Amino acid sequence: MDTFNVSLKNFDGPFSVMLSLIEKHDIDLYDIEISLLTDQFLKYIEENSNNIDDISDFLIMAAKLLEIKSFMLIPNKNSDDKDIILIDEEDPRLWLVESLIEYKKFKDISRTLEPLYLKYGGRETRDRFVISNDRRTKFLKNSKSIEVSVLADIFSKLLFNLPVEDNNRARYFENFSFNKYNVEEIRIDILNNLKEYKKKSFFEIITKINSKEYAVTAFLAILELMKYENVDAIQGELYSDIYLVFGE
Amino acid sequence: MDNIIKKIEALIFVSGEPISIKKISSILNLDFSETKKYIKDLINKYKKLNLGFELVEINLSVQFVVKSEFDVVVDKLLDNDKKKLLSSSELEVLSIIAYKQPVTRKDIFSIRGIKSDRLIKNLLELSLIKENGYRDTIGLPTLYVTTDVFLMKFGLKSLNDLPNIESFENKIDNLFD
Repeated sequence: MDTFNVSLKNFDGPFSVMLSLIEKHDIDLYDIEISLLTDQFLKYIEENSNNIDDISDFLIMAAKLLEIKSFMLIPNKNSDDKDIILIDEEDPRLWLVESLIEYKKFKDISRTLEPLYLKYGGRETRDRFVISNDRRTKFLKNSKSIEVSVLADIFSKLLFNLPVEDNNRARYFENFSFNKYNVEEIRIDILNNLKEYKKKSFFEIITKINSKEYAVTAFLAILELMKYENVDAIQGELYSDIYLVFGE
Repeated sequence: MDNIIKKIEALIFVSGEPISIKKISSILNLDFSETKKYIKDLINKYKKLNLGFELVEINLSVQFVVKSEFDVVVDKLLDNDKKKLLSSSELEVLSIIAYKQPVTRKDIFSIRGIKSDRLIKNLLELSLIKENGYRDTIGLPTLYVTTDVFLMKFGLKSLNDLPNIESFENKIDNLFD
């Protein structure tokens, strides 16, 4: 039976693993014993293959190590003594050493930044409260196909998080029942009505039945009519009633 | 003078999001360096008052922020169940972006030796980094930069406040000598 293995290091990359192997086996970074490092690295992959998140990246690195190892076997022309290999442009290990040093630099930097985050990371601002990020991401996560109920949920959440003076608006929706009226039916109803009378008061249509649900549904129907049918909304002057007109 | 400080205070309070020192100076008809001086006084004033929030300057803008230690109670109000602690790998990616910005995923890959897509996604969700155009090369890879939220959440006034990278290079040299 497999043992339940929790590894916090499973996001560590191959350079991170190599650095810890170098430390563990006391390898000189500027004169890496490449065969030892390669063997240990392959051993690590074998032992941790279940924990490594992206094993292909590790295998690519293993192949690079093997390549360097094979280059090291070619006698160095510039040196009589094949045990002494100075790091110069010819040294096949140069790329590896540079990469490890560059990686180590950022690992060290990240450790310096960590206490700053622990100290200041909890800071919050008012603009994040107004529409908190969290709500926005929840919304986006569901955005593939938004169910009306999801929108309604977000909408009511926003309303209930409004400041006190806006709570009246929130209360307005407390006993709201959905699907009571059908936009399509009301749309046809209004359209027939308009075809007959040519002109009709917006206010009259909306308040035909005294209910919030009807008003909202009728409003949606009117929007659709304005978009898809030959219906216009006109207003004589500011704050006066709006008239819906059919044709022209 | 006291009146000017109060005017500045009013502007910062009402704006909620970061308001630039430039904007404040233009509204109040003050010159920039003068405004900066007043804001410095104002920041110190809030520091001395020792309240639940403080005034911070980030990228030449100012904003009131709730002090870090109250994040637990603030999260309850914000209904925030998002994890906040960064893993060491996320911090690594963030460090690379902070010092090398703008960077592509490939730049990050060549430093870490491993794909970091999921870590980048988490950092994006925390608003610590953002996408910023693309590099004009094959495939037009997206470029990533750090945000003002990053500066705020690491207590930095600007990117110039980041620890000096050369000190790390020297440290590594000493380590292996």
